[in-house]
This record gives sequence, C-alpha cells and structure tokens, in this order.
Amino acid sequence: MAGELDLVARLLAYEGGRAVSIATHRLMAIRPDALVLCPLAMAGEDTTVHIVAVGAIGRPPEIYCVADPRVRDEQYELFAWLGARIERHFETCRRAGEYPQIWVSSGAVADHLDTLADRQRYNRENAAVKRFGELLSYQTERYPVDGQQALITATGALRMHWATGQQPGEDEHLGTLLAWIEPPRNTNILDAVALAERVPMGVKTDPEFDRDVLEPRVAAYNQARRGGARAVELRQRAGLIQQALEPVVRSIYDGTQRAIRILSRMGLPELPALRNLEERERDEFESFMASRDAGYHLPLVDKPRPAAFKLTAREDAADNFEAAVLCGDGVGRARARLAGHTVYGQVENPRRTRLSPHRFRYRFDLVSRQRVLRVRRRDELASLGDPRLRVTVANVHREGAVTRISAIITHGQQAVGLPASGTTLELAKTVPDWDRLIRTRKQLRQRLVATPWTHDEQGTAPAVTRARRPPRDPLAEVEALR
Amino acid sequence: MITARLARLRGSLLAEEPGARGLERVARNPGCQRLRALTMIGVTPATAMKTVYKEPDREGQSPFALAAGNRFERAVFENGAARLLELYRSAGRLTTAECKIVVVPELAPGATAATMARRRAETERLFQHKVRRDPRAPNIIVKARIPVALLGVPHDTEPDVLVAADSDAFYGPVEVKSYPDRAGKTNAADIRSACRQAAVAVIGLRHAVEQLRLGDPRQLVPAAADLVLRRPGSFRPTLRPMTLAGEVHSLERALDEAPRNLEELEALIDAITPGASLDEAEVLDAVPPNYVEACREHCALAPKCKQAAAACGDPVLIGSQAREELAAAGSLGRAVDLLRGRAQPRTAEERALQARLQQSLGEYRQAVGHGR
Repeated sequence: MAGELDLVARLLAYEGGRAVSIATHRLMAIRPDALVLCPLAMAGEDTTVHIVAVGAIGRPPEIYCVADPRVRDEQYELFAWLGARIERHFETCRRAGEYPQIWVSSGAVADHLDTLADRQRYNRENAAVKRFGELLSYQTERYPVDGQQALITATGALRMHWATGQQPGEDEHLGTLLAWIEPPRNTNILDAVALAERVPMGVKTDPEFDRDVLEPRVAAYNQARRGGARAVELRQRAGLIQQALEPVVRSIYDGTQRAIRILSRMGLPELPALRNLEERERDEFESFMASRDAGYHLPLVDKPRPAAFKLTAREDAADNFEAAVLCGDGVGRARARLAGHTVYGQVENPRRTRLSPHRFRYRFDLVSRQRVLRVRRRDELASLGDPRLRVTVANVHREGAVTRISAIITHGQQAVGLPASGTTLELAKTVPDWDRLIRTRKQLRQRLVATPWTHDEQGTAPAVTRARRPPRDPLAEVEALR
Repeated sequence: MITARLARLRGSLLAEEPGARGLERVARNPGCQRLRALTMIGVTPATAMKTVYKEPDREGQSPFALAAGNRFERAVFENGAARLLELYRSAGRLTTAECKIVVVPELAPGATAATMARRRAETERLFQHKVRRDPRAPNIIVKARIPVALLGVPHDTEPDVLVAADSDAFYGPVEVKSYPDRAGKTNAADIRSACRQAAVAVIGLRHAVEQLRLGDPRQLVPAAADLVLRRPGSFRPTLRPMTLAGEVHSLERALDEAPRNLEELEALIDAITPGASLDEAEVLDAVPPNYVEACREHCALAPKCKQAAAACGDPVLIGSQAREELAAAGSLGRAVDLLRGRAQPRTAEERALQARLQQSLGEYRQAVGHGR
C-alpha cells in the first residue's frame, strides 16, 4: 500500500515527539550562491510586496519596505530594487555556466511569486519592473516541474527528508516543521507546535497584527500623504511601518536559512541522479536566457504546440524524478518495495535456450515474498542494481505468500549476463532515462507538423469516413506508433 | 414556536444568520455534529470559540483583505452594476436591451425583521414576474432574499446576484468573490468554497420555486452557477460558468445526516443534560465533533477539536489517511503499541494491521540503518 512507510514514520515521530528522517540521500541541490527570498504581501492584494528580505545562504538579509504597496510608484521602486538583485544573480550564474537557485519559505510564497511574475512581465509602464517579472518567470515556470532545482521551498525540501507527527497539511507551515525537527527542550511538542503556528511563515501577516498594528500605521501614512505632509514626516511614518514589518520578515528569513542549515547538516550523500537534474537545470536556464536575449515574448497561456511540448517535458521530469528517487534513495526504494512498484526476490532456475545456431533466449524465475506486487505479463522491467539488464515478464504465478515471476532478458545479455541462481535481484518498471525527452521531442515535432483539428483555431472536424475493419493485431498497431 | 425552541438551545448566545457560508461549512464536514448543531441554532463557530470557550478566534480576516473585497464588490455593482452587465454582454449572455436590474436591499433598506420579511416578499414578487414572462422581470437581481428550510430550520440566504436573460425560464445564481482568477492556476480551495456557496443558492432557488409552485424546480433551476472573480492585480471582474451537480448533490446528502432536524438536535442535547443549552462549554464539549484535516481551513473551533483529538490519541492527528489505515487500532497509542509489539492483537483486523506496520517498520529500519 502506497504511503505505508510514511505512515509508520509519522507514527514513530508522534511517539518520539520529534521528526524522523525519511531519506538516505539529499534529494535536491543546495547551491552555495543561492538566494533566499522572503516577500510579504498585503492581505487581499495579490500582486503586491509590502516588504522583502533577500540575501545569500548564511548571510544577513537586505531589506526593502514600502509604506503602502497599493501606491504604484512605491511598489515599482521595490520591484526594480529586487529585480536588480535578481538580475545580478542571474548574470553571475550565467557567466559561471550555472543556474540560479532561489529558496523561499513555503508553497504559498512560490504561488505568490508566480502571480507576480505572470502580472509584471507584461508591465508596460516600467521597463525595470517588466524585466523583474520576466526573470522571476524562470523560477516560477520551473516550479511545477518535478526535480527542478530553480525554486525550492524550505517546507517542500524538509518534507522530502523528514516525517513529522502531525498532519501533512500542517507541514506547510515552516515554523511547525522546524519545531518537529528541532523541538525545544523541556516543552511538550504539541505545545511547541501550537506556539510556532502563531508566527506567520508564509506570504501574509497575521490578520490580528494587521488590524491592531499595521492598518493604523498605513492609514496614518496615507492620511499624511494625502494631506501633503512634508517628506520628513512621511519618512517617519514609513519607518514605523517598516519597524512593524521587519521582525516578521526577518523571522521568515531566519526560518528559511535554518531549514537550509538543517538540510546541509544532515550530511547525506547527494542523490546520484542529482547531477543529471542539475545538468538539465543548466540547459533550461541557458535556453530561457537565450530566448530573452532574442527578444521572444513569454506567453501567459501557451498555444497548443508549445503546450504539448511543455506537458511532455513535465511528464518526463515526473517519471525521471520518481525513478531517480526509487533507484538512488534507500527509503524511496523501500517505499516502492512496500507499494509493490518494484519486484524484489531471489533468482531461481536461470537458463539459456538455443533458438538457432547464433540466437539464445535467457530466462529466469524471480521468487518474491512481497505482500503487494504490481506486475503483470508483458511488463518491461529493469534491474535497479544495473539498469542495463532489462527483462519482459512472461508469466506471474502466485501461490500463498510466494510469487514466481518468469522473466525473459531483453537487454544486457552480454553486458550483464544471466544472473546466477540465488542472487537477489530488484526490478522496477521505470529507471531514469535522461535522453528520453530528446527522442520524445523529435517525435512530437513530426506529429505536430499540422495542428490537430481539435486544437486548430478553425476547429473543423475531418469528414466522417467509414470505419475500416478492426486490425488483426491491435497491439502491433499500437507498438507501430511508438 | 421554532424560534422559541432555538432560543432555548442557544441559551445566552445571540442568534446569527449562518448564510450560504455557514451551510457550506456544514457540507465540508458532514460528520461533525458539533458544527451542525451550532449552524442549526444560528451560532457561528467563531462566536462559540469566543463566547462559550472564552478563547480568541484566530479566523478573522485582515482589514486589508476586507477592504480589497469591498472595493471589488463596489466596482462590480457601482453605476447600476455596469461592469457586471458589461461582463455578461461580452460573454454573449445578455443583450444590450437586457439591462433591467433590481437591488433588493434598495427596495427595503434597513436591518429589522420587518425589512427582511419585505425583502423576501419583493424577491417572491420578482420570481413570479419571471415565471409569468412579465417584461418587467429584471435580468439581474442583486441580494435577493430566499428562505431555505435546511436542517429542519428556516434560514434566509442572500445570493450575491441572480441573473437571467429575457428568454431564460428562470434565474441562475452568481457568486461574486474577490479571489484572483488565474484560470487553471486559481486556488482550488477557493473555487471549491465558492462553488459550494453557489450550490446553497441553487438549493434555495429550487426551494423557492417549489414553495411558490412556479414549476418543476430541477428544470427551472439547473445545478449550475456563474462565478465572478477578479483579474489579478485589478478590480476588473471575470466570468466563469460552472456546473454544480456534484456540489448540489453532496450538499443535499450532507444536510441529510443526523441531526437533520430540530427534534433530533433537542434529543441529542437532552441526552447530554436534560434542558441544557449550547452556551455551556461542557455541553458543547459533549456534542461529538469530527476533526479532519480540512477543519483548519474553515472552522474557528478547529484548535479546540484538535486538543480533544490529541487527548484521545485520534489517528487523524497525523493525517486523514491514518484514521482509515489505523481504524483497527482506534488510537495512536494502541497503534504504536502494536507496532512496537508491546500489545497483543485482540482481533484479526488488529493482527493484520500489526503485520503490515511491522513489515513497514522493518523496511524503514533497514533503509535508514544501512543507506546505500
């Protein structure tokens, strides 16, 4: 059953009153030059940033605050200021042939940045703000792609490595997550979590704080501004607003830095596939910047062709990342084994049969005692120990608690060879394939030379033709499409 | 009579109108008898938290968010709802000639019981015009007042807008929300909540059609509504027609759970303490809650219910999935004992659960212990 291992990990965390580790490898890169970005928006104003803290890993933040982000000119100054820092970071990464990485506290911040990027990259009033929106789009467009390394949420990163004794939804609050991972001494964990919960860790301030502290100060500032107050008074009033907001944003910034420290201190080896994921990130970044240099427009909604390409890339990334964790991480593999996504057993009855003078068939039985197995005839499996060894399942036979899987080797007969009897083997349906996307893109280019009528602007359905006879071998026809 | 019985159950608590939001809340957690009881007697969870438990309600909205919401509503409805009309015209739903608008609160201004009764009467009159195909029937009705007998108690609901072209047989509800419309990226929880509130309006309209004998309720009021959201970073509205068959069905089903009427609620309270009322913390504590993950999104009582869940080691504390998976054990303490082998399984289900948990523990230990 999927998630059973995570359930047990949560039970252990609940029992012990502290989070337990659920990874044997670090599943994402921590770039030493990454930026930590903590914006706070004004409640109800979805495209604003009231105050922002930004800085490098392990460094104190630079802070920029505006008195009222609803005042457009002030808001644009903040965006231009932040945009300049992001531009600098991007340029440094590009010169070094690297990719820019940004850390934020939680998914709510990533969503907010996405809204900002969507809105500001079409800004016609201020070129610097437009540029800020465009650059930010790199991170936000990459964010939904599995295994991306450009925009990392601290909560997401911690959750991949730790299980807490609370509900999964509660893990989206960075403060509570940190309380579970490093619980304060001599305090009941549930009390510590309840206390941590009251501290804002997302993109908005507490409504009570807004009502009692922030709103009166913003109102006083606006009253003074409308009343034509002198610059000194306006600065003073703006200073009071910053004074109120700064501790909030600093605490989020510190929390995010603490999350990065915790992940670094775990001392886990990197997931072997991480270098492939980073390589892909470099390629994506270079392609994005080249596209900006060439003056291409970033669409808000993709046309059918690019949408198909992007969807395929996301599917490929999801498959590859899942397979990379399954192959490279001990807990990932245990999770897959329990859920029956991998077949784990002992080799029995290995045999080589001569089919013709120079052709042989290699087969063996894999005997598994797994409670749950998701395998059936014709499944193609690869060895997790050496993915060059690939087999097709010829038969699955279950007797009591034992499942006997007959497999025929399709690849790796020479390179890996027939496994010896008694060898322990673990097979999975998916192993990372980092070249698959290139092949898929090539195939898509051929298929989408003409836009299908379903997505064509004309939308004309083809003329109805008489159905031909059903094919003799439907499976062969499907295979021919590959 | 009903009013007196409700007042008795409320005790010292003041009556509030749950509205569509309150009824929608019940549909989110149909198994929670505590929430249902409070909604039936017309008390919000936030009031119960403050008044009954004397604890701060942390569910309030920021004044900035309230102001933004109000500004959006003003922008939609100002100048005779010009923007709303424009929205429907550009979507081809209303023609230039279809511009009759009635704002019900303007027909009966005020907040007294008599005013509310007049608003209901005005709404009924407008509905009758529409069914008779009277050319005076408005195309847009703002804040119509529709009584709905839900949970066995009459409640008034005020859908933001009802809309119908002259050729339409009846009105359809419109929910106006200041959520940013980001197409496929719009917050799914926001959309779900708006759709459920619109579903309350569908049920209300069907109820009105039935009460006024205007025709077949399901035919006149299909399970559909429009959501009016706002473009990110502006106050320009967007229009999203939605089908609500699932929401209407789940709402009807949720409202059909016990206690489904006043008699059942009175029996439940009397079984706790005869003649008791829900303004007493001990009585409210004794009404069974159903703490789930989603409670935190919408119910001010969630922290209180979480405390109760922690006290009894409810598996939901580590997730809704755990409540299902650990059902055989019943509590987290028992599940941990089974996992550690400190307890002997009492039933076949417990034995199966113990085997599963221990196998997972073995795999987990092996993975974390050895690594790769």
